[in-house]
Formats: sequence, structure tokens, C-alpha cells
Amino acid sequence: MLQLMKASAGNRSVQRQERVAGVFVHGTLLFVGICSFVPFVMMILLSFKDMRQFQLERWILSFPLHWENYARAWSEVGRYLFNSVAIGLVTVAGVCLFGTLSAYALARFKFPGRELLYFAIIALLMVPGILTLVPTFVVILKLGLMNSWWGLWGPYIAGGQIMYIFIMRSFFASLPEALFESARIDGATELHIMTHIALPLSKSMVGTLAVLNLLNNWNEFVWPLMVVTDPQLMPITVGLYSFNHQFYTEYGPLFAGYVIASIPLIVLFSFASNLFVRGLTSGAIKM
Amino acid sequence: MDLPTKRLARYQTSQKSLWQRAASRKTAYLFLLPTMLLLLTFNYYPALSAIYHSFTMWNGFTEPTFIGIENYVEIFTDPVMKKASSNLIVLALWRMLITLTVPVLVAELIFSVKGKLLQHWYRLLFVIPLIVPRLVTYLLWQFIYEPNVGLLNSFLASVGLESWQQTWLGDPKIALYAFMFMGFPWVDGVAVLIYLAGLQAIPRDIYDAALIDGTNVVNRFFRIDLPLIMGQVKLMVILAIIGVLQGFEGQLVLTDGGPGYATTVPGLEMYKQAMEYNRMGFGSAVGVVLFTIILTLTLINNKYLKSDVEYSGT
Amino acid sequence: MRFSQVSLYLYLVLALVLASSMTVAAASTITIKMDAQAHTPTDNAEPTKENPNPIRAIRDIADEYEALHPDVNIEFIKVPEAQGRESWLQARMMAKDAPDVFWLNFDMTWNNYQKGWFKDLTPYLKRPNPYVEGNERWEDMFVEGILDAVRAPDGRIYDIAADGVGVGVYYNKSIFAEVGAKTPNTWSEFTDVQKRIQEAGYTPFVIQAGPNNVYMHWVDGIVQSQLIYDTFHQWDRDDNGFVDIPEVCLAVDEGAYPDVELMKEMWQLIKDWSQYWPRGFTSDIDVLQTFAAGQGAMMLEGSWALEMIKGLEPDFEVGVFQLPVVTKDLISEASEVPSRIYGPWGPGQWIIPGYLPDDRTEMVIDWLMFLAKPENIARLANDHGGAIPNITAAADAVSPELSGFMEDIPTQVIQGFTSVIDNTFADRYYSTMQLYLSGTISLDQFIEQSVRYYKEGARRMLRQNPDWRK
Repeated sequence: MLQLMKASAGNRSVQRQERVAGVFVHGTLLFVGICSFVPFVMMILLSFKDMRQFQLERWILSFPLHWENYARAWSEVGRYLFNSVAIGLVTVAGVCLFGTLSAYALARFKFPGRELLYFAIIALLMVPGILTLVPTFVVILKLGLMNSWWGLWGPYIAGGQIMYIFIMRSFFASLPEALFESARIDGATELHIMTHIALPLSKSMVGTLAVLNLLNNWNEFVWPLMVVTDPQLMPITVGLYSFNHQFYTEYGPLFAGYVIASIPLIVLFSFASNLFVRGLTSGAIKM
Repeated sequence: MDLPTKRLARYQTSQKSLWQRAASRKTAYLFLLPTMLLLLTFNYYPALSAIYHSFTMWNGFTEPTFIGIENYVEIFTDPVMKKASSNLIVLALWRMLITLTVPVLVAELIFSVKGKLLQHWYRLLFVIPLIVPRLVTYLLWQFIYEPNVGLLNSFLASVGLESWQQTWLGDPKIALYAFMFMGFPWVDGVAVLIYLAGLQAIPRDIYDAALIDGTNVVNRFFRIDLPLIMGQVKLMVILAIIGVLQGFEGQLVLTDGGPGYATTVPGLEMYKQAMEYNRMGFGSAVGVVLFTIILTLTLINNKYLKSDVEYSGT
Repeated sequence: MRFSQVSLYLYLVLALVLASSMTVAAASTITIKMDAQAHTPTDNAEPTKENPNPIRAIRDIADEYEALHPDVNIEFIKVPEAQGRESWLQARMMAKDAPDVFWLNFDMTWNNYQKGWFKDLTPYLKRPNPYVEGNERWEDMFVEGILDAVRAPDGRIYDIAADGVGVGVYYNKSIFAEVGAKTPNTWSEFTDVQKRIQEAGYTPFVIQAGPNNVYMHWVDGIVQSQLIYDTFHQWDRDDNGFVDIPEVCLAVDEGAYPDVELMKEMWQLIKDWSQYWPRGFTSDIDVLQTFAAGQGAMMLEGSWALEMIKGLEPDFEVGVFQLPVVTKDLISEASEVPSRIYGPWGPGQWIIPGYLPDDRTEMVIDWLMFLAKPENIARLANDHGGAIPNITAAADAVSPELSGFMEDIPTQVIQGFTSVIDNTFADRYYSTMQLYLSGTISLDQFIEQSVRYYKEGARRMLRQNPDWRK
């Protein structure tokens, strides 16, 4: 009887402990989550404000909502939306294609100079961008890639694949060797093994890195401004900055423009969020 | 299968793999070819060009003048660079602390949530903010810190804590700390997910054993979780080092390194010298020094932060 | 990724490349491309709900020009006004593909003319403007002194400043009425007004010395000009009524400038003034917000802010006056002559790339001369709202609202610290000033350090420009 009582008391205290722990877990997560969500909410909130509301009622939802900010923003950035999508998608495709080949080679082949080559690639992550801005532009000029998307795709793909290789190599390396050995015994080519064994296992990882790459280049502004002069070829960021004037900024339309510019990303996230989340949590991104 | 046949099969596979190794070498180089071509054109050549220019006086346009190590000498003697470096050390240590704590904690908490769907929503909660452009975040913090009509001081006034009010980024003594506090609660969605991935990869039976031993949560974290996500930690440390040493955007938008030199960092000096003072050569030298430091720290990180699970390649 | 997907991407690449390479064939007429900054015509010529303030004057003028010259076609190119101008300029000059006329602030031409990026426009300004009857030299059409203000340190003009902006003290008439103050004329009256306003619970003067702004540059320029108005001729070697960069550098090198004692007194005065500034003024203060919300009684702002204030619909009336004069009882060397800033920072600044062939330059100049006709400049100013014409005959077009910026007092005789030596100097000087104003270092430390910056900067500039010594 005594023992029974003790046990039930224990149960109760365990239950209480669990409840306290639950409150702590959800409380902390919600607090931290909501805090980091604030910038997203504010971006939307500010996009509906006119100058007066922005200056005087900045942090609260204030009425009327100025939908015309969106019309105004759309008239400046709408025409560039497709350009940004095209620039981003081709970059992502290039990064995934070349990055996968290299990461796979660095992870699953043994050849002289492998570690050195890997480190030489990774070292590029550490080169500050300002350092190479002008020299890279010289390359673009010499190659005649001015005023075309090639001048964006080239450096974007070259630069984007570094991070991709960095992460994909360790992912490929973590796949069990047995999978590959049996295919090799069957006489499959490495290309076949890569596309039919390694890649299907890495689908969500590739998708994740693709999304991260897209995010990275989406807000790029200075480089396109340097390389592209034809307004027909400009990405969306160039349109956005037409709200930044010499002496003042039209914040309402600017934030509306930011929201419009992030709609493709939001669509992408809502379709790929599962993939994204699964990708990063599917394991083995590490050094 | 009798023994000789087995042997024969093994011999055949080893033969085959020998042949394959020669072929695979060729394939490997072939696989790497496009990447290397792109990198040589758009990354290695510009980087080498920048290293060359770091030994010159160059305005970024006309012919550079070779001046030897003069730029490097200036970096190590300039008082502004000295202040910038000490600021950078503070910022880097802080960033390291954050990278190693907040996302790990959040990942642990999400990991402890029971129920797949709820976990999914929590993960999504930390992923969506990735969409917000950094510039927007900086602007918001500028609005928060504004000393007169900003959110933070207004809030303090409304709850009767006027005495807590500060001029935040306007006070040289606390500007750097205010700058460090920026980005609260410092959760990077990608980092959270990467740590979470590490936690989920820990085999169940290790946990079950720990549960039987009656290990408490804190113990479990230090004895099981942390050693097993060391690979992730190393990765995040490297990314944080790269980010903090190269970063200057926040300063550029919010303080321009001021007041005085309270928040300046070498990266910002590099940017200003190269883009505003017509001293691309000096800027390049700062960049080369930063690169060397990052490289060294990465090597140290790889050597001394031990991760239990090493990758295995063929 | 499957192979079919890979090939799909490759096809996509191919399709995009083809699409982008199909550019329109060149037209038979000559096209002049122009980046007209804020004068760039908007897509809609009539007001719409999305864009209530269409810009169209320059397009109309271009149409008239095209009618006169059927072989010429004027095309307007849109370039972001503020963000990334440096990188944009660097790229355009390296690629030699800039618009035939583009906008830059004049000080950016000062910082870059050494690279041969801009066409020397001085000889063209000496020619008659054929579109203006009786004009002998184009430069005679400009407001006095404005071309000297944009003249680069090498004595050449790379920037035709067709319109400019004024700077003045905006004040909240309600607060002034509440404390029973009138607009002050002397610095002592100014201090007295501010004191009363502070006692009434408002921030007297909204201004900031935070990152990336020009307020302290203005204060330095105005107050210094007032103080040295009687004595600046000793440094003004070419007697154009303005101490420019080479003159400052030479004077610094000879030890004749700055006058350390005067500099001390001036910065002590400004430091005393700063007790009426908003809290935390060494960070980014929201000047316009504080003023428009009725929390601050005055602010020092450019004429462009007038339109913005109107947009904020404040519940008080706004007036403009010029910064009061410092009298001898405060600083004994003071000239007691007020000074105002009228600057060539307008949207109508025309720069021609240095690599442009002469024959093409001729055509561009002809278009610019047409555009500079007084009635055309007046049309641009009316269209824009905040710009003030720099063409004398168009000055009547200044809207009466802007009269506060055009008070009949001398314009500054020396620029603020940003435009007297170089960017490196400006940055170092500003940082030290922030430390002084925030009370981190003493006045003596500030003056001592900045005199060193002056000397270093002057030496730097003189080494780069040996011909200045002649």
C-alpha cells in the first residue's frame, strides 16, 4: 500500500515535472519564434503605410491600409520579377549540376590531390567579396559578358557552388559505402551511380541547398547594377531601389516592393517547406 | 559456393576495382572540370589579382604603382585599424557564443517536442524569417534604437523605466554592446535546422541507455548530444568566423563605424578605403589579411574541435 | 535531380540566351542617352492613384528638341539615385557604356576626375548658347558663384549644375507661439528661444551628428563662413569669393589655416548649442519624424524636405529662416555677417563621360544648351517641387514657398569639412568630432587631432597635385 502510494505520488510528480517542462519548452519556443518573426510581420505592416503613418504610427497597424503602395511598387518592380526568377533559376540549376558533380567526385573518389583541391575550393569561401569586385568585373569585360545574364550567371554559379560543394561533399561522404560497391560490381558507371543511387537519397538536401542559393542571390543589387545596363534585363532589386532617393526614402512603396519581391520566395517556401525542413534535418551536414 | 570460387570472385572484384580506380581517377577529374573552370575564371583569377594589388597604390582604375609591403605596414600601425581589430575580437567572441548556444538550445527544445506536426510547425516558424532581406532587419533595428522616438526608449518610458533609457548606438561607451544585442533573439533558422538534424541522427538506443541510467537532461546534453553534434558545431563555427570577419553591412547601415570608432571593424575600413577613399590597394591588403586570419582560424577549428564521426570516402 | 530535369534546365538556359540576344536593331537616328536623376520622366504622364506626382517636363522638352532636330532621339535611362552609385560609376567607366549625360553629386566628380572619367566642360561653358538670344557665354546664364561651387580642385568644371537646393531652419510656428518667441536674428536670441522651448518640454533643435548625413557639414560650413567672412580673402588666392580645396590645402600647408583659436571658439559654441539637440544625436536620429510629430521645434533641412513635410500633414504651420548670426560678444573675431547654404546638390547636375568622342560631345552639349533655356529650367523646377533653378533668368520660377531658402544674405564662403580636403580627411574629422560632441574627448584633444588630420590631408592632396603650388 505504502509502495503503491509512493508510486502514484512519483507518477504525479513526474506528471507535474513534465507539465512544467512542457510549459518551458513551448513557452521558450513561442517567445523566441515570435521574436524572430517580428521583422517579417513588420515588413508587411510597413508596406501599408503612407508617409504620415510611417513617421507617426510606425509600430502599430494603422488605418486606412494604403493598398496603392502595392500598385506603385508593382509598377516599378513587376516588370523585373520574371528577370529575377530567370536569373535565379538558371543559377540554381548550374550550381546544383556542377556542384553535385564536384561534391560527388570529392566525396566518393580517391585521387591524388583530393584533399588539397577540396581545401583550395573551400578557401574561396573566406575571400571577402569587396576584394574581388573590381577584378571580377575586369573578367566580365574581357569575356564580353557585359549587359547579359551570362555576366550574372557566371560569377553566381561559380561562387554559389562553393558552399554547395562544402555541404554536399560531407553529405555524399556519409552515405554507406555498401550501396555504391554493389552497383560498381554490377558494372554501373560512376555517372549512373551518382544519378541513380546518390542523388535520389539526397533529393531533399539538394532542394534545400537550391533554396538557400536562391535566397542568397535574390537580394543581390550591386553586381547586377554593374554588369547589366539594359533595363529590360535588370533584376527586381534594381526596381526596388528606385524608391530610395538622394535625400529621402519612400518607405511604404519600398516595403511593398520587398513584399512583392519575396512573394516568389514565399510561394517556393510553401511548396518546398517540407522539403526544406526535411533536407536540412535529413542528417550529416557537418565538417 | 566453395572456397576457391569465393576467392576467385574476390580476386575478380579487386581486379575490377583496380581497373576502376584508374578509370575513376579520370572520371573524378572530369567531374571536377566545370567547377574548376568556373572557379579559375571568376574566383581564383580575381583573388590573385587582388593579392597583387594589395602590394600597390591603386585607385581601382588607372595603372597601379608597386609599393611593396607599405599597405601591410600601415594596417599594423594605423590606430583606427587597431581599434577596429579590438572591436572585431569582441564581436567575434560574442558571435561564437551565440552560435554555440541559442540555435543549439532551440534545436534541443524542438527536438524534445513530441508530435511530428507540432515539430514541423516550429521548424517552419524559424524558417520563414529567412525571407526577410537583411537590409530590412537593419532598418528595423535602427527604428528600435532611435533615442527619442524609437521603440525601445518609448517602451521603457511607457513602463516607467525612464532611468533605463540609453542613447544606444549614440553613446560611444555602449554602442558596441547595443550593436551586439541587435538581431535578438539571434536565431538563425538554418543553424537551428542543422543542429536539429544532428540531434535526430543520434541513434535511439544511446538515449534509451541513458534513460535507464537515470541521466538528467543537462547531463545527457553534455555527455551524449554535444559530442555527437560536434560535426555540426564545427561547421557552424566556421560559417560564423567567416561571417563575422567579413561582415560590415550592419555597421554600414547603422553606425558607419561610429560614434568615433566605437563600432568600426576591419571589414568596414576595407570597404571605405576601397570604395570611398580611392585606395583599392590598401583595401585589398586589408582583405588579404582578413582572408589569412579566417584561413588560420578554420585550420585551428578543424584541428582542435574534435568531431567523433569522421566522413568516409572510398 | 534526374537527367531529364538537367536537360530541361539546359533547354531553359538556351531559350533565355536566345531571348536575351534578340535585341532591337539600331535605329538610323542618333540617340542621346540621359540619366536625369529625379527629373527622369515617369511612365505615366498624368497623375494616377499609384503615382500622384508624375514627372514629364523633361520628356516634353526633349520632344520639342527632337522636333527641331529630327535626326536626334533623346532617351532617358533610369539609374538608382542613391544606392550603389559608386559601384555603378566604376563599372560604367571601366566598360565605357555610361549614358551620354548622367547625374552625380559634384563632390563625386572631385573625388574621381583624376581618373579621366569626366569631360572637362569648362570650354563649352565659354561658348554662346544658341538657344538664348544675345547670350555670349553659356556660363553667364548661371547664378553667380554656382559654377565655382562645383569647380573641381584642378580648376575645371566637370558638372553643369542646372538646379540646386537651399538649406534653412524649419520651425514649428505653434511651439514658437506657445513660448512667445519670434524667429531669432542673433545667436544669443537663438539660444534664448531654445532655452524657453526646452523649458516648455520640447526638443528645441532636431539635428544629428550620426552616421551618413550632412547636418554637421552644413553647420561647419555656415558657422565658419560667418566667422571668417571678413578674413577669408587671405586664403582666397584666385579671388573668386570662395575658399576652395587647393586654397585650403595650401593654407594648411603654410600653417595659415585653420585658425586654431577661432576653431576652438567655434566648436565650443557648437558644443554649447548641442545641449538643445535631441538626446543621442551621435546616432541616427529620425529628424523629420521628431519634427513632424511636434516634439521638436526646429530642424536644419534642405528645401527638398518641404514637400515631405506637406505629405506628413502636420497639425502646425511651418516656417523657414536662416541660421542666426554669431555676434562679437560671443566670439570677438566674428564678422557678424550671416551666411546661408545654397548648394548644387540638385537633381539637375549634368556630367558627360570623359571617353565620349568630341563629335558626340558636341551633340550632347547642344541638347544640354537647349535644356538650359531659362523657360525649360523653370519647367523642370516646377515639375520637381524642391529644386531651385541655377539659371538666373529662371529664378523667378522659384515657388514663393521656397523664399526662406533664398534670403538675401551671402552664401557660404567655405564648404563644410566634407568638401575641403578629401574623403579620408572628412571621415577622420567627423569621427573625432563625434567623440568631442558626445563628451568622450576634450575640446583641446579634438582640435589637436583635427589639426593633425588637416595637415596630413593637405600633404596628401599636395603630393597628388604638385601643380597647385604654382
